[in-house]
Amino acid sequence: MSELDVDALVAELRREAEQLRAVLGATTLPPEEDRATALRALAATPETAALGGFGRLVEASRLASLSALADPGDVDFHSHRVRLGRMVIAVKQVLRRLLTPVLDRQAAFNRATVQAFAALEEELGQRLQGIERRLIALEEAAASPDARDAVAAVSFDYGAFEDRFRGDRTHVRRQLERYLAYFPTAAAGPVVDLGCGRGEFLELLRESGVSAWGVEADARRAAACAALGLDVRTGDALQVLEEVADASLGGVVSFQVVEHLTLGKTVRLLAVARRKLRPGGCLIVETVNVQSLIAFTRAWTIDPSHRQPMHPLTLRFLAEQAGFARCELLYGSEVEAGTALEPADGGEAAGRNVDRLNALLFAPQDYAVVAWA
Amino acid sequence: MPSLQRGDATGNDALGMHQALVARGWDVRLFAEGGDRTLGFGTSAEARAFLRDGASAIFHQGTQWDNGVRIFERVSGVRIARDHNVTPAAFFAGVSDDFVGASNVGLAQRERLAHDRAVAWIAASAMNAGELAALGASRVAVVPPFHQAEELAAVEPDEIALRRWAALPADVLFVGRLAPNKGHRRMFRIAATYAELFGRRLRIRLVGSHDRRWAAWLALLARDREQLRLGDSVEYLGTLSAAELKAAYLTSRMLLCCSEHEGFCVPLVEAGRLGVPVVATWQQAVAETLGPDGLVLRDASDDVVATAIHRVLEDGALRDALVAAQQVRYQRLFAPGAIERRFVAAVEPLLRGEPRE
Repeated sequence: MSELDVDALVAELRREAEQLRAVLGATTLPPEEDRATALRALAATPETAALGGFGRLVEASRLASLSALADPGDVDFHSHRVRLGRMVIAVKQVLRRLLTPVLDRQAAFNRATVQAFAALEEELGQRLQGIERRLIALEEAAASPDARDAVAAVSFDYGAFEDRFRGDRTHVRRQLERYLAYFPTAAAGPVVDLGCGRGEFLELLRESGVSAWGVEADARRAAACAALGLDVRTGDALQVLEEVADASLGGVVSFQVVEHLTLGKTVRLLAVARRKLRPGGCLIVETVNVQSLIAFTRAWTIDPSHRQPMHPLTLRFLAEQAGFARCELLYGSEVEAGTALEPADGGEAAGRNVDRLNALLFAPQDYAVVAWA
Repeated sequence: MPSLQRGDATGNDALGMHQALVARGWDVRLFAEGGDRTLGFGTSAEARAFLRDGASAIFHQGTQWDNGVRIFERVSGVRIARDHNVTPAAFFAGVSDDFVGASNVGLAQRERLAHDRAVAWIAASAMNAGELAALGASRVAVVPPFHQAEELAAVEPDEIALRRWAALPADVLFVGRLAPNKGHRRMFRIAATYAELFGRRLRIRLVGSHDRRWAAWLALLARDREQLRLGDSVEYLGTLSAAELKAAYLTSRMLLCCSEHEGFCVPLVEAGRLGVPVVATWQQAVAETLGPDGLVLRDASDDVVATAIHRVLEDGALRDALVAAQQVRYQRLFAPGAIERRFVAAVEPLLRGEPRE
């Protein structure tokens, strides 16, 4: 059919439908109800909340129905007794008033339960998506020549790993607070956090009134950030950064990311960040301080996905090479109190030796290059 | 506008307008109460300050936004209102008192602005323009909304979604929020009729947001689905990213639109751009969007719509002809350049203060 005569087509369809219906006889479908009548009928049906099966649609209606039933105090009292009816209702009302504290508590519990179900639904959906993505990656990896290594790499759930070993939110927030000084006012934004993880630094910036957004490769984490109201895009950090307009950012930060990258990718990241920062904009790249032996034996070796140890002077050199005007090194994450060797009582030389050993063994475990465009 | 974000119809429209005017050298700022902050819009407080110096304003008129109307009514420069569809309250009666209220306020707000002779209007369709004229608006131009069809065409489809849905392609896709005006109930009935007439169940995929406050109506849909014995053939996909939406279009054999109330109907445009044939039941704005060469069935029984679906699914030549007609219409009227030309022609003379014709 090259040209369409819609009117003729519709006329033909009407004829065809009539013929079909004539052959099949009258419809056996239940009679059609208008919306208002159907809604009224449904409201009167006690099974409304139990309507089954309609994917997420039913989840919505089921949760909403549960939500509507959450308040046990929200009941109209009736009595079929003619004479005693009013008295029965009055007694029930008094009882309800007396029970108000208990009912309120039950209502709060019910609402919290519905919310927990909704959150669980969301979380399970996200986890499922993560599993599906890994399944696809596994299928592809299995088809590659180095199948065994590739499959092993995909099977490693880095998100779960980091959740266990990176430290809780409070700890991470405390670690990152020191960087807020580089973004003192709203004018310092927007700041991009590459590999923002659970979004701790984005939260700190938001609380300081500095606009910020993040990039996170793990979709589940990005979604968790979004649930906190943070603006986080899913994808490859470098690729997303490339898409930002040149000289448009006030800050680029990246915590504990470059040690996972190849040297070439780190060099590219620094160059792209330099291009995207406006003059005076600030770059912060934090990584494991490989000059600290305790960091090397703990933070470095615990994470099998670490690739590229980066000496502080090397990273600062790379930042300078990328064209940053001023570069500084900032050390942080001191070892826990009582870990370092204690000053010896054996005179000046022994004290110096202890200091040297402490500097080698127990130096700060992280450092950051802070650089200005 | 109350909320600005990429991906929703109003947000896409505002961003398209912004881009078109900036490209022509106008100093344009976006202001919204909330939304995606990375879009760089100002707050309503900043809008007040910006408009104090005699700047002109394009106000996106939709559902209730009291603060926005107050700001707009005090603009001393040129005032243009972009009319976005407000779903009439009747659709939400018995479903959500909140929405009945918001809809009534939105429509009253629209009516009040229409009485203001200093406000020029841009309507999304001739249907909306007619409504505005009936309310007393004196200057109304019709400009289709800017949309994301080109972005959809360019984006890579989501791999997981594509694999999952391509395994069992949908016979029928519908894109639009799960709301009482969108015709889902009619669609279900048509699906049941199709099963009666042709002996197999249509696989239907529904895309769009839902609101938990419409629980009663959602429960009604679930009941319909059960009573009409549609089983698992109806799949609700929820809100999708652009990449997932692209996958949904690519894995669907046609788009069915039974919407009872639209001001335009962006999914029809997206389907046209992506080569998905459309069958629609008649509604003025839907018919206007699809045009005379679109398969729009006026006063059609469920039998006729089911027969039309069957014909489109079975007849490759008809599908090709429909897609070709939709694509011609897209290029002529709804391609970004075409919309931009109409928008600029409608708005620039107003902004320059040229006298009315």
